[in-house]
Amino acid sequence: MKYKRRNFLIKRQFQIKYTLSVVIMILLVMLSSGIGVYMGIWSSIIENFSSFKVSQNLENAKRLTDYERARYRSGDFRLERIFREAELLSLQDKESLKNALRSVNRSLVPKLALLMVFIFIGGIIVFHKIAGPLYRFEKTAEAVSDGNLRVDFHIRKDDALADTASSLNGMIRSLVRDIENLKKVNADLKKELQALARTLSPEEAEKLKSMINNLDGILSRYKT
Amino acid sequence: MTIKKIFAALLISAVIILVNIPAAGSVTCADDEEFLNKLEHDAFLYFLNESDPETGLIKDSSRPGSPSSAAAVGFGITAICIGESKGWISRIDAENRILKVLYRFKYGVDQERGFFYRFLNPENGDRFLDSEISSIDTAYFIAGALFAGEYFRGTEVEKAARELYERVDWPWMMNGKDSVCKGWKPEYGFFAEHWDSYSEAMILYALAIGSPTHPIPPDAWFSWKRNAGSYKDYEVICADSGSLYTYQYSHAWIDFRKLFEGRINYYDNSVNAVKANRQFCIDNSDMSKTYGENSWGLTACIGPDGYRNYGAKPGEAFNDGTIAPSGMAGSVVFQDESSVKGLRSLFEKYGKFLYGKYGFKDAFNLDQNWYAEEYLGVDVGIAIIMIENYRTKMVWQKFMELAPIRRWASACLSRE
Repeated sequence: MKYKRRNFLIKRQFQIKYTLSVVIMILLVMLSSGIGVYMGIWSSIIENFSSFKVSQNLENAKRLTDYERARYRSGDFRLERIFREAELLSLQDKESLKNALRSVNRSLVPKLALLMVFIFIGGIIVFHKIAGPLYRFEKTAEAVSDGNLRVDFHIRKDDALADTASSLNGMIRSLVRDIENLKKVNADLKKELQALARTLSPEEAEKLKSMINNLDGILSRYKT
Repeated sequence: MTIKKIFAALLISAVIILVNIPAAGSVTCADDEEFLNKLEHDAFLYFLNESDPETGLIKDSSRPGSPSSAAAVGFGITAICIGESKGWISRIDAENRILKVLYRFKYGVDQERGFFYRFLNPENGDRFLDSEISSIDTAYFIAGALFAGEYFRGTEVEKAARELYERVDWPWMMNGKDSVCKGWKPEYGFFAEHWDSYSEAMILYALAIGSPTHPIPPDAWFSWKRNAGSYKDYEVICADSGSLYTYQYSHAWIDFRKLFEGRINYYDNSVNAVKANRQFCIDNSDMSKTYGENSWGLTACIGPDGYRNYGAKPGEAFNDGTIAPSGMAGSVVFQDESSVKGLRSLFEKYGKFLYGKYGFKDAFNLDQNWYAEEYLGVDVGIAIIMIENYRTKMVWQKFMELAPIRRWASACLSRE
């Protein structure tokens, strides 16, 4: 039967804490990007294409035509000219919009780069609290598999996996106790074997001695 | 004896008090001098505030989105010097503002052979829409620059102004004719129209003839027609439109009072034109509620239907009941009493609608119950300069000391 995980909050505090950290970080990124985009791009768009601006353009176009009409006898003073001038102004506005976008882009690039640096540093700070203990966990496991039971799985005060570290240390201490007991029992067995040597056949005595030596060899691998 | 003395003292006191009590409806300005000072100060603020902070280019109008105009800059530079002389701006600030705009015109404004486009983008000095290279607007700018150079003599302002002036290729703008062409566009070339009759362009000819680098022949001064006309008793060498500004703008800088062309004195000519303009308004006061003995001054300005070249007779006399206060303010050197009286009357009667942060708004029309919301740079400019000329003659005195102007005057006119 295939194992199916039903409880996704295995370590509730740990999972909630780091989920919130990630959410807050993303929220900050979104907010800063949103404000930058709104202030930089949309305010220019709104300004350049607002009805106020359009009426300004039309007024300017009309005024220039009026000025020319007042000064020059001949010329093109028709309504079409006003619209042509207004169209020219509209092109000017589009150009100014392009410039605004370019300047926003130019200002966004360094801001984004800075943001990336902040996120990177933030990520390092946040995740080293997990990665550090995991690294030490790996090293401790290697030491234990090499028979070194003098190791202590020590982690910093604010690091994650504090409970896990405590359990692991408990396990190592328990192993040390058991190994020392086994060593003591094996030493007692050696003494008993010497006392019983005359009652056993040489083959039996040799077999038991060999077994005890093997056990001694295994136990001697563990530094306690 | 003592009672008589007391009675006499009381009588004298009563007379003094009565004399000093303001008339009903009078304004806070206690006398004409104070009133004119207020007009000048408020007009000066236009040029202080309505300029681009980066380029220094002065807006054509206070309307949002308005372009800058070379003429408004010329009037504005002059106005800033006036402001400095009154202590409304520090000398260093005035000098820096003017220098900034002169450098912008020297290095960062679209131009053709030293001539400038009539309208410019105030933010960068680029040509605004398809406006033309304008000889007259360039002349107003150069006049303002040269005046500022004279005002700040021995400084970078003088040097920059001289260089801008010396760069203008005046003969090019004649396009092979006897008179100066009105404009040029890169798309079409020269305009068909020339400054070939009496107009606001006398200062253009003065500057072009007096140029040390690219002068036009003095004969050009005599190339334009002197069309004579009259209205009632007033005989005038008149402009086609009969618009007041044509009799004012050149006089903003040039003091024509002692300069004669045969029997013609252009200062006296403007006096007659102003009188005719006022009389025309009085005579037509039954046609428009706006017109009257204290409400006159038909000149080009904003009207209810847009900018129009309003004028009086002699001339085409197009009018629709719209009056620009700048018509009277710009006439103060020609007709001081009726101008000041008219301006005060407008201030008292319509100040609530017509007077704002830069003085009188551009125009009004009582028939349509219409008051302009905006100020025009050139109209505010002519007001402050002419009032200053009326009060101190400072602009005239400085400008008439310029060597190019003396050269032109010697070549074309005679002194009294």
